[in-house]
Amino acid sequence: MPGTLPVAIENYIALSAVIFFVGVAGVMLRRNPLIMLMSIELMWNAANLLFLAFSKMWLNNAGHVFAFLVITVAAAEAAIGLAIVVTVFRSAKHVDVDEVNLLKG
Amino acid sequence: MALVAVVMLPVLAGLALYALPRDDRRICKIAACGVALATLVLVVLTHGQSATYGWLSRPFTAAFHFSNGGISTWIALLLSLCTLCAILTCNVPRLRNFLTLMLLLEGSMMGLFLARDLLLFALFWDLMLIPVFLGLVGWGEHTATAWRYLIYNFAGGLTLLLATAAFGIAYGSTDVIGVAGLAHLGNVWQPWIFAGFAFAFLVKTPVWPLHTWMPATYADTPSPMVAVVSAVQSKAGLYGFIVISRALLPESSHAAANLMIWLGIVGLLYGAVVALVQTDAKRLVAYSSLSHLGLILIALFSFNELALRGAVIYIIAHGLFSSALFLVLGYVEQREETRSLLRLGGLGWQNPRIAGAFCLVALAALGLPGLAGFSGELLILAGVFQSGNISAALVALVPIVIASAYMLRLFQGLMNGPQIADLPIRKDLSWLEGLALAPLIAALVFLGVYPQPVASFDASSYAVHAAVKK
Amino acid sequence: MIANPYNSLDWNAVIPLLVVSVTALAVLFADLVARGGVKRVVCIAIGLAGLAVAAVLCAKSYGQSYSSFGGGFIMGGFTVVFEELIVLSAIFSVALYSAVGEARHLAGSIALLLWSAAGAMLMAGAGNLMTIFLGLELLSLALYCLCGMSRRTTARESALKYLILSSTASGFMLYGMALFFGATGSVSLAALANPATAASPLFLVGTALFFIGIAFKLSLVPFHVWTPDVYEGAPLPVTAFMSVATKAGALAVLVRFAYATLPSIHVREILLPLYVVAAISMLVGNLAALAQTDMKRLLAYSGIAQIGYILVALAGTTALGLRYAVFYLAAYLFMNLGAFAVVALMSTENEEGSRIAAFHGLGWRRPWLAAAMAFFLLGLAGFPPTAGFIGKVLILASAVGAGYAWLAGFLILGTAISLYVYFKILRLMYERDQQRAAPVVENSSALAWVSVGVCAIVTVALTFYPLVPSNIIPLVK
Repeated sequence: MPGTLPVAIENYIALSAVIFFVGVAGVMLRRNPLIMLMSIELMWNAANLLFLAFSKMWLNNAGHVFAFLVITVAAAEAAIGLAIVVTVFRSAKHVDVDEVNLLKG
Repeated sequence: MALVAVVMLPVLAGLALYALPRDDRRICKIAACGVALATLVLVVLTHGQSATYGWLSRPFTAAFHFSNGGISTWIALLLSLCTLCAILTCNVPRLRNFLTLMLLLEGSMMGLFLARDLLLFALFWDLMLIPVFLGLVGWGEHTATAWRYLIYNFAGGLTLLLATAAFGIAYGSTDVIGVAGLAHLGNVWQPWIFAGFAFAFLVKTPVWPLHTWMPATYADTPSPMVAVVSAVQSKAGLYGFIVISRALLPESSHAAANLMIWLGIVGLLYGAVVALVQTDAKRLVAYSSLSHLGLILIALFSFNELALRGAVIYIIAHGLFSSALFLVLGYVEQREETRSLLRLGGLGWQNPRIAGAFCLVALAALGLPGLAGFSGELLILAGVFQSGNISAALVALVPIVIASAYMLRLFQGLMNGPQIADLPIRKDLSWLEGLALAPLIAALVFLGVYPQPVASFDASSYAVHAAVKK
Repeated sequence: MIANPYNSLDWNAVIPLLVVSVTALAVLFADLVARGGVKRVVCIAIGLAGLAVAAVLCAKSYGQSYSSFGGGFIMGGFTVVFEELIVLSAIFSVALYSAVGEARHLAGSIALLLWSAAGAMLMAGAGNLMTIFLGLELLSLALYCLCGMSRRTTARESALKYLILSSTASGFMLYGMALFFGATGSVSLAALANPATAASPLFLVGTALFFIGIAFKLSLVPFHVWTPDVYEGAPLPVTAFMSVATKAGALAVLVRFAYATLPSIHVREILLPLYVVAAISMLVGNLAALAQTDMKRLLAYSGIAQIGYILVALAGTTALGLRYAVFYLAAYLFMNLGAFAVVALMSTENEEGSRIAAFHGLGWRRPWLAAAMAFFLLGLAGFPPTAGFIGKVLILASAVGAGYAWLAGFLILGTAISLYVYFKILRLMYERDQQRAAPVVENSSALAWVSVGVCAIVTVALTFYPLVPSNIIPLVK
């Protein structure tokens, strides 16, 4: 391993894995679109954390660039997501995906 | 080029019928007859020609290879004659669309029998299902019949496709039909490939126990179409056994010969016995077909040259008399609006010409000497006997006796006997209907006294192998 | 002064992509300038012209092979073929806007569709993880908006559903990419090609997550649940576009990953789950399609099965198999978009005629339209004389040749089931029962008819001249 980290890389991996699965669980279990969007952000940011940690470990700035890219895209995603939630809310007067059931799985 | 026209003419002309006025039945029929006649003439003119155009070079070589020669010519002649006769007296609602389907059916089957490439064969094999399916949907009595027809035959088509692909990969080329002296195909793949082809052919023929789609299909399809389907489409499987299974996969064919002969024997007996008790005239003929085609299957898997020649004569003869039978039954059904033997009777007193034609055709079907059915049966039995399979030859005699019984019963039930009072008196055979039946009956008589032209094809191009010593 | 780090060759590689993106701006501008009835015509014309230019520019690079932007975008036969397919599907989809779609959303829809196509094109040539992600998100973000662009409540709900599920899948993929980065210390796909990385647990877990993301985009079972809902809810042209372009983009990424990146010794084991998923997709897709009452849902499920067929061609990662996969994708493009064009011709501007009941008796009322639909359905079922038939033969041959006879068996089984799906429509169209016949919608948009005609002609022509592209092995360097 070329780089040196103050904390062993395994800890970063473990932490990001925990954050990732919290995100996954949030998407799977919660039914409020806003919370689901937040959970998705958690998943993405878990990946970001990993990118940064590996970037430091490999002494390769590509990870930093990637993280910035992800943040930018996530912002766009959140903007569109919230807009769509608003339009659905306007037409249906509620925000619960269980009640959003015109289309069945 | 002319050969490609034989295939493309009915297809393109069939689609072009859509340009004609929908309600002018006369114009539509004249146009369709013209096309069918032109196709017949083209088949005669292109005899001996072949045409090849490249298609695939990878993963195996395939070509648009058509050839008009040998057995193919006879079946192509049969096909174009049957189609012409069927179209001539076609009288169904929405005639234009029906005629389109008839011509599409002719074109797709023409391609099948002239194809010299396995992939091309498979292409037309699937293609010829569509007109019959649409015919059943648009003009049949039960939609379920259409489904049954399609599902059985498409299942066969899929195994055929898989076997074709595997053959192509194993051999490197599919341009192999009718090629004598083919290099040997490895033994590892051969049984599987044979199984794929055999399933398709057995379903299509059909052979017991894969025949259950057939009686309903024959009964429900409008008579002009079933005259062509029973005469020619049912021969596709037998033709496949001759030019593909026997010629290209000889080892597996020999290995499966006993099974096939048994299936043939069961079909032969089963069809004959069930035909005895049918009350629906069309179903009766359908089961008799099952019986006749079982006989041909036995002949093909006896690996005897005499039997093969007999089988080919019988294929043509069966085509002629089954299409004539269905046409006559169609005329009867059109007049009386029923085809139940229980409700019909004594038509011969009112319509002697129908009765006369029907009598001749029925006699050909039960194998009267002097008509085409007889020469085929005789050669087949002699060949099977010669191949040493005496028990099969003896068993095959039984249904010939039963055939006399059910054919005479059919004739008696329809034409003789007391007149049934509530049937109105109808017209006798019109000149057009007579014109449609005449060539079929003439051909039956001609092949009965002089089968030589059909029997004298060059058997070596189908790589007929001497029987393997058991 | 900092010198431009990229040379003209780099920009050359992405010119088609840039043309498509700029065309989208031109469409928006035209929307501001044009007035009244010509607006629709002008917007569609500009969109089609831009796409045509992109297609020509893209075709000109065929035969060249180089890497640009430091390995971020790789030009080559593979990229060109996939870009062409994506541009073609965008062309046919934009053409559908002439028949359906609300006028006030038209320019925006076309622009978003073009940007989405640009994203898919970026995926086709992506040579490192960043460009893959960027392309994927550009494709998806535009599609979220497109899905919601309709007054119908179902459309908005489908957009929400798509957004959440798709972003979750992106999250899986992104996490997989982070693990790849950890395993190799580089974001380029070329670095992954090192056989030593294959042993790393980070790489294996990353591959699994990466596949989940891809499987979602390809809508393979069990990641397919979003597909029918989103297809049904989205406006017709968007559905048409999604059904091909999304899959083409994701397939390009998958193929580049499987062919050029995975170490060849382990590729059979690593890809095995994918083949199993493909086999299940062929069965489930066709079985579920049986029960549908909406044409768009039916085509969604059929698409799930069709993508399974394409993966069968890739079994064994042979060069020939890839060519057949691309051939079948092209065949699928024309057959599927042809079917969508027929549906568009049965729709009014505000009401999509995608209910299956609307096809009742079509054969007697609009014979040419019904004949075209029958033809496309036959193609999807693998009947001759269509490219679907020859494509299936090629796929079967390649799978049997590569030693995946069991997958070929599943393909046969799936096709047998699909028969019922497509012939059900055929039966409806040609059934005699006039009482149950649906009323006729007289939509005669010329452009949609042209689409139908072109798709039909190409579908036949491909049967007789199977143009299987050569020289399309993907590269990573």
